[in-house]
Amino acid sequence: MEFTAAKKDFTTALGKAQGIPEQKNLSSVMANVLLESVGTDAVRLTAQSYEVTLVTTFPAKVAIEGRMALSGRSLFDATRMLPDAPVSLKGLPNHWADLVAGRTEYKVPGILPDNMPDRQEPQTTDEVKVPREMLLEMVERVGFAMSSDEGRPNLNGIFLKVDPLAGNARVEAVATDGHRLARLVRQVGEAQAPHAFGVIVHRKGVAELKRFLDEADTEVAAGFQRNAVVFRVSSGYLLVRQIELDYPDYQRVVPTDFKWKFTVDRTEFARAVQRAAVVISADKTPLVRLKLEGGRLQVLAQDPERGDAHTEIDIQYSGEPLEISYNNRYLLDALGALPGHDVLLSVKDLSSATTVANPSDEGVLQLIMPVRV
Amino acid sequence: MDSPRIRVLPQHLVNQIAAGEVVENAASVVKELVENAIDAGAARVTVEAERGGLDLVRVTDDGCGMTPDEAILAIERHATSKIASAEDLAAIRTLGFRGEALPSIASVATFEMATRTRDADAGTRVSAAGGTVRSEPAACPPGTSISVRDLFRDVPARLKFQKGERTQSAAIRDVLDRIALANPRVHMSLISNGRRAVEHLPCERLADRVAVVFGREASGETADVAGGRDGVRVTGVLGEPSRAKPDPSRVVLLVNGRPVFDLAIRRAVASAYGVLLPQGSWPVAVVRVDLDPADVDVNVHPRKSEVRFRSPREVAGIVFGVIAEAVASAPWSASTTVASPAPAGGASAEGRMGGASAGGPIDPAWTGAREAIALPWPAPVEAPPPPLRDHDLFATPVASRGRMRFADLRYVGQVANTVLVCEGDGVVVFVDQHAAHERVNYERLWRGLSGGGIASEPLMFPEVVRLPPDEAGRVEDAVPSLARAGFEVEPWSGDSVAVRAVPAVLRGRSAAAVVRECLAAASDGSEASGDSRIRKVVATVACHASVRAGDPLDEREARALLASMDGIDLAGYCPHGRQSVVVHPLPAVLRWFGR
Repeated sequence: MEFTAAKKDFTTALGKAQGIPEQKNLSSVMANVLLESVGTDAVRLTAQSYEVTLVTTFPAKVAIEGRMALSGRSLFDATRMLPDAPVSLKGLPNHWADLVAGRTEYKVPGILPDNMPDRQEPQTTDEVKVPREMLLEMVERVGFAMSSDEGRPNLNGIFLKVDPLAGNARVEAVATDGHRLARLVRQVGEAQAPHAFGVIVHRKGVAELKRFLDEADTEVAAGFQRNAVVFRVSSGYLLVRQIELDYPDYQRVVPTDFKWKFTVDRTEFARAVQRAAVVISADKTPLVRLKLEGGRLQVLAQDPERGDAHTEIDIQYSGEPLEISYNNRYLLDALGALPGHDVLLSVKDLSSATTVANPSDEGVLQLIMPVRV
Repeated sequence: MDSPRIRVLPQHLVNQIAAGEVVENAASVVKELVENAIDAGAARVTVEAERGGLDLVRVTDDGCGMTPDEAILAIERHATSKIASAEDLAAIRTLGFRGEALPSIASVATFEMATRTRDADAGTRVSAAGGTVRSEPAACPPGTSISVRDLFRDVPARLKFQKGERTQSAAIRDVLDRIALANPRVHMSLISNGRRAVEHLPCERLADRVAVVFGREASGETADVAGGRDGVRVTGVLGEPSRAKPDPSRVVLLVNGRPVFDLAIRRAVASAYGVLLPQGSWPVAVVRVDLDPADVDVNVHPRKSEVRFRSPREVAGIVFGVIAEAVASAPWSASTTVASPAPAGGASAEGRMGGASAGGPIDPAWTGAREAIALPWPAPVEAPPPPLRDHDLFATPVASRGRMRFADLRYVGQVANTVLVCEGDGVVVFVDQHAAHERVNYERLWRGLSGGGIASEPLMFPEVVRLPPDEAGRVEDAVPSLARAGFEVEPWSGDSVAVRAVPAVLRGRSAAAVVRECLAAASDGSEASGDSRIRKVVATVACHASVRAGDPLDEREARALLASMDGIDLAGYCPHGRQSVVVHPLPAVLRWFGR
């Protein structure tokens, strides 16, 4: 096989695949990516891991049709250093390939393409069209709250729930690690889904989704099948294994009646929390205490070895005084993942989750558990 | 046939029966005779044994000796110089007093004694065999020498049950070692089958004798103990906990100078080491308890290997208190100490090493092999010899001069994602990241507990944890301890519990495993006090909250961990007693390469 492609097309395609092949055990077949000619003017790139399959097609001038399986790592590293010139790849008899751009040439190791595992082809039953922006928002505003604790596998992903409405659909994305929870709700366009359903998208796929959506269409078809979720754009698809477990009943932990509610400038609040965090050593439970009284919010932290910190913010508040502590990192994550100028904190009691939300965008909700000291 | 008639037994038979209790084997002969020698004020005791003592045990001392009359009387039953009245029995300060030993031994062996008092011109030789006693004047040095031959020859039943020669020899050595520990100033030697097996030179300090008896390798760096109250004085020497081995005989208890076994006190010693000591392991420790003889009954056991205290709990409590205090200030507890920069003149690191202590005992941790080899052996009596054999001269968990601040160390890197390697002033420091972090977390949790309490984080989704059936039944008991540690646990259905809150320090780790272990710790053993339960729970939480072996740490995290170790007590040991810090003096490391 032999082809030539514009450097940009080639690097974009590789960039989408780069997180997927096996990185540690380079002798594994899974460390390779598959390149196949599609007619004479395109090449299809396939990268697979146990959790994720990525297929993307890029324009190329195919001189000799065929396929190649090349070491993903070598290909990424070499391509990054190539000069700005059209890239050509030519298979060698030992399954390696010549990678040439301008006057630079690499020889990239490869294997017999037949040794690559079969590609996972999508067989979706239900599909919903989702704006690319919403998926990016999902990764950014929700993805951070996923658990990486292998002891709780059902939390190792984003729970994606689709409720078909008349003519369109309500899509809800939720992630939690049991200490905080992030939820995004959006109305989206047409859905070909006869019934409501929910899937847990594996966390490895969530990380790849952002790269996949880089330079993609503005609308993505999210398809659902028995064991996977498929995100499809015109150039290819990303298939992510589903975690086939029950997601916890998160609706139950979203509190409704609140005793305390206050609004505060989001940036100023986040900065106050960061200031307090200075006295918390990196290896400790990073606790910040909020004291709400009269028209001011005090943000405090203390450490027996590193001292105390205290910042005040003026706010509009005349309700009952409140004193509550949070894990500083969870609080900062939540504040950072919210859109908008202001943030609304609502507290029911000291053992229920506190909701942190944008008062003018109910679609994004962050929940964090307070810490009892 | 005549029915048996009750009759008074002949004296010789009575003695043989008594011998059954007193003289069990050759080692018990050695014990009785050496104790007599000590009671006689000997400064030097020599024991000779042949074929494990079954052929011959000879104990020679330079004590006060006996007059001819006394010598004959001595082998009469219940003849003793040590007590005269019932009042004396209540206040025994000597090792022997029952007057049973010599007649008992004489009844089961061929017995010969040569003795002379210091001011007598001639000595006496007394020999006894098969119930007849003969006495004649003889020439002998001052003191007493007793030979016991052919032990149990006339008691085949007993002879049949004697263990092998090797075992007998080991038992003799063991007996001698224990008495040597009780009497560091007495020169004791053992000659076994004509070969010198033991030579305990007189020592001024118990620590030196401990070093000789156990070896510095086994004891590690020792700490002296001294304290007491209410008329109970506790002294002794404690070995390093990191050298602990699962052998309880390493804890030697001396009550009024008598080596005895006492489970309660032995346990008190171990608990005083607390978390430093791995479960089931014992450090080298010699603990001497001195108290009013009226408060302790030594007349419990014919061999006097056990005693009965008037108030055993109180004595154990005092021992615990004194030893816990000594442990807290022991060099290995501070563990963050290494060599301080040398005083002016000792510029090179090499010089610093050699400059260790002019008059005081030589610190094994910081003494190069060359210095040790240069020492004369045997050393003059006035200056007890430092131990020669120490295979671990260079690697030491602790040393004892000046404090090292972990935060000041130059972080070099992480090995095997497990060990942090640092460079300090003239030292290379290895830190086990998990053990160190565990200790830090443990101390913080413990401080938190004694301060405001441990921060607890309610779980968004209560976790239901299944327990083994036997543990499920004990949940109720464990709930209060768990609550203090920051857990909120309540019985769920069947063998499950619902976990509603976990200590905040766990930071997002799954509660199931922690809760299972903590429940096991909290409901462990009915005798465990609430305090030791909560300690176990806190240690479990600390373990789970800590970085693990195999977790890659970036430099920032590693530095934060090192910095957090300053100001933590016992930073050199994890809460389960494993060592977490090893310090190699740089010169020793360079010497690996001949530099």
